[in-house]
Amino acid sequence: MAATLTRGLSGLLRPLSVFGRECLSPAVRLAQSPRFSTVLPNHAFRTLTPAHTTAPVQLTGLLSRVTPLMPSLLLQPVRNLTYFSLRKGKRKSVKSVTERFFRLHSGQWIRRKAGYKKKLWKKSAARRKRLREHVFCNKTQCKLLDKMTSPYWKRRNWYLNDPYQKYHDRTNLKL
Amino acid sequence: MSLIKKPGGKTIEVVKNLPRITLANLRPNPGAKTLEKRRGRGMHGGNRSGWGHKGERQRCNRPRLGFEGGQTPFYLVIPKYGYNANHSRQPQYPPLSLRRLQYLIDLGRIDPSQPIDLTQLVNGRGVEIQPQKRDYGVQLVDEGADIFCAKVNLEVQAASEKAIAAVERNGGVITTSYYDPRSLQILIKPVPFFMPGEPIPKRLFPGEDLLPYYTDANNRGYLADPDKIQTARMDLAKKYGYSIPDISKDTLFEMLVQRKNPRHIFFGLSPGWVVNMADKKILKPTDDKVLQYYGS
Repeated sequence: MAATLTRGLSGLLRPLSVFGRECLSPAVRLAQSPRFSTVLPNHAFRTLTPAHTTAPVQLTGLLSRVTPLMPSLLLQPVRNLTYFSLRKGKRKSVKSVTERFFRLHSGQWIRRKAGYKKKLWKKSAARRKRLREHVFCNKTQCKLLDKMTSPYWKRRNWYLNDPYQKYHDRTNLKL
Repeated sequence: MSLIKKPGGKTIEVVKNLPRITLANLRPNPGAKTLEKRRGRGMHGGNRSGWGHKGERQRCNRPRLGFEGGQTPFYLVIPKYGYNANHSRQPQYPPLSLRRLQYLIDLGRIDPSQPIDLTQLVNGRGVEIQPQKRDYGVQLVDEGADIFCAKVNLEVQAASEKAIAAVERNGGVITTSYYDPRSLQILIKPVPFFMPGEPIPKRLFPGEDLLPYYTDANNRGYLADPDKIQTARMDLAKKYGYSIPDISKDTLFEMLVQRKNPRHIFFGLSPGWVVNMADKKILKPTDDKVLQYYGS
């Protein structure tokens, strides 16, 4: 929906920029190319106003209609996994995974239950208790989370007074 | 049955009579070479070569890892929780078990007749400390407390109660002290620090999080009151049911009582001194302001 909106709006703006392209100075062209940015430099507008009065008035009108939608269109989250980073050529972790899950050294991942803070007034005590628990992830989920994190998150940590210290190793596991 | 022994013996005669080596006579050892995997050949390996039928799968256009066709993926449905909060700022202490310490002493890698420090432990390759991974020192763990029987003057950065009891039961002395990251790096690798000829910095005091730990007598903190430590020793002996041997009558008493100044990184080396490794000399500052700074 955001993508179609940008395409439609760019279509609206394009004839304006084409119309004024020959007469517009290079400084103004640079200011216009990030089409939906609210942060257009002030000096660009100042150079515009004495030379061309018609084009900027139409532009600002459109911009004011578009401004409330702009941040959500601009700040789209990037969910891709980087296999080889540009600068170092390393694999990168997905931050959303590190913020939500915890890896025990045995390979198990722990998470909270979805909705454990939401609308508790309408949930029974037993349900609230179940939601408060920390839960393990299943094997496919663990494999997925392992792929989404770099080896740093798989290292053994020796914190003092770590509440998860005794859970990093499996005991009495019969295979 | 000749008395003269020829080198190689009968094998050389055999080899001399063999045909000459050609490509036709040579073969690699069985198992040395494996055939490469060639996709898309043959009746059942061919056709689509294991890539499936049309679609994203065959056309190598699958979406990113974790994508679930537009449904909010599993890794985003789960709410955030501070499991890994401040992970890069938490101090870590790799463990040293009493069993390993006993092993090192038995093998002669660590000398119990001298005070045992982190430097001695690292020199004897007893522990591996990585200051870059937020390691703040070593912690003494009570595995092997029953078999530990060495009398040592030990200085670690954290210790469990049972480990302290095990050391003191054998007539040893244990202290927990704090090293800030820079001092720790110097402590574990003193020679690379001395080589460029920088003055030894003064050891910083622990921050407000760790200060209560090092001022507590139960942890044998280096900033704790010595009288309280004495009472804590007696209480621990009562708790674990052993009698504290009297160290004052020990031959190694002077060594056991040796403790570092809270501002010093090494025994006998004051902050501000420069160690010249090439000429084997120590240079001490004489300026008043410098002495005041390093003396504070």
